[in-house]
Amino acid sequence: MFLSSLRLYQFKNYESFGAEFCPDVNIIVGKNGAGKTNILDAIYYLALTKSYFHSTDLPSIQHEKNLFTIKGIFSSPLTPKGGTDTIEDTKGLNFNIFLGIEKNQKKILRFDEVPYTKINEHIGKIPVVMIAPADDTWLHAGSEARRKFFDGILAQIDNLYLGYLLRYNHFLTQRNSLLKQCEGRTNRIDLTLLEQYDEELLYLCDKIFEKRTAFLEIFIPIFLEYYDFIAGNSTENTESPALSYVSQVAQEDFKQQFKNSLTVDIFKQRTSFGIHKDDFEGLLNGYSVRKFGSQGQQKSFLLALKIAQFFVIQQQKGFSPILLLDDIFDKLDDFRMQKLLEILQNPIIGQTFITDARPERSQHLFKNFIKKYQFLEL
Amino acid sequence: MEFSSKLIAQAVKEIAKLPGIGQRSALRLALHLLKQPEAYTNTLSQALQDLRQKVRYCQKCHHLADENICEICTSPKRDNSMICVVESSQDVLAIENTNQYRGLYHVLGGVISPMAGIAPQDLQIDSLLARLVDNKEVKEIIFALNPTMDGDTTIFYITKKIQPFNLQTSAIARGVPVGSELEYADEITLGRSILTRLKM
Repeated sequence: MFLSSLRLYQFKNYESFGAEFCPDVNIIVGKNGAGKTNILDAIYYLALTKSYFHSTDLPSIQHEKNLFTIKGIFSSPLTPKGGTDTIEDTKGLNFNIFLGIEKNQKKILRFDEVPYTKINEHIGKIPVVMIAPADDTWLHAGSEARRKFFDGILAQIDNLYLGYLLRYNHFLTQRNSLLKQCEGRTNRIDLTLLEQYDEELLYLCDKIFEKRTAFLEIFIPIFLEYYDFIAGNSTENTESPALSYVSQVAQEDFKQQFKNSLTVDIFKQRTSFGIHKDDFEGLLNGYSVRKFGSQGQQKSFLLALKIAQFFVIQQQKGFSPILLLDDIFDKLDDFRMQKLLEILQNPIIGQTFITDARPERSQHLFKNFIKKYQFLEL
Repeated sequence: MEFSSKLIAQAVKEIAKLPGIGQRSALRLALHLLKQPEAYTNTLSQALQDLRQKVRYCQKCHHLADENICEICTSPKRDNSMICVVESSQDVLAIENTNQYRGLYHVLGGVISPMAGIAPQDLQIDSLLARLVDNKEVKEIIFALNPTMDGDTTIFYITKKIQPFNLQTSAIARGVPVGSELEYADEITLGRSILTRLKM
């Protein structure tokens, strides 16, 4: 599946915009501020109905306007690659996705003109992987960024997981609101209601923990393979990278600890135990890559995470996600850039979008590229 | 819109405040009223005044009523051994329209949601418990709440609260709507329908 055509209206810097794309590599070049990244974000929007860069939709609406729309026409190749529950298997060769977002209104999302009643049902139909400079939040921000990274992948490949996570977040907000209303006094809590929320949360903790654990078992080997490839590690020269999942749920007496923390929870007015405290730690030779890794090691680590994300989704879905590479050449040194180009030539990788502020650099890099590519100048 | 008459403008302004009615429809209604005999507008305004002044909530089930106790609660034809718990009066009307239920009702006035500022004591839960103390005839409580996370929480909460009364509890079935197609049912609904399938 690939995006053949894109139409934007009042989206970020575009009053209106239209472009056609090729099924292989699309290189978007233009000056800084021309709106290269915005095109990638629009594609991301069509897949996940939200921006990769902003947590709300308002910054994506053109200044002084009230709404934006994005329409994409997707084409499926003639030979389906199999897999279930994917658009690839369904009848039409072409389908279009329309997303309209207006201030203070519900999002409108349509698949071939038919509106979705639940937007969640769309998530995962058009898998995408974005690699952008902002990814370094994985290393430098709090645990939330790392949970979001893995949740984002799991949500695209496992609809049940997304359901669990949404339920968990709902009940967590309810429990926290209940705690806040006690204003720190233990005698004011409605224990029957609290128990109800605890029961739900503990059940969902188990489910989400199981899903995250099972997911990492698939993810880690792929990640390690690409880390070694990108870092140029051989059998003699290895950095022994690792990725570990740190969760309170793994502790044997987790349920007891959760229940015991009630007094503390009432005092702090929030829930101290649960999967919302999970974290993921990257290690090199047993040391935290976030704290002790060199710049180069950190870059390889991030790139390997993203490449692994791509291949895991590809493996689970049975077809390739759309790959969006934002300003990647500015951030990588020659060695890693060559490695990335080698990966991009892998026939498994489908449609790819790359932005670059320096067209001559991309032209040079893609000189010997074996796949088809096309330049789009803004 | 500019009117030749301030009186029409005023009527349109008031009618347009009703849900689902815009300026244009309001004007059409106002003009329609003008064409009717005066007796009709008198009856209409009397009905509206009575509606506002005389309709109240039933002290037993909190459904809409003319007297302190509603006609469903006082009817000798209703089955006093069943109480159907619903969120709002609209839900009572919806169930009544089915002609499938002959028991009593209890209108909660919402569902529990701390984040929306709705605590159990803001709902008619205590009054339900009081009803069960007073009325020993009740054998079964039927929950007909919306199938949302908060609806379910409210069901479980009330179930725990009424445990001492040793009643039979049930919730309305959830599944594929009549006349729809399996293909279009969402996974949760379809999964549940399979688990709670019916014997034929």
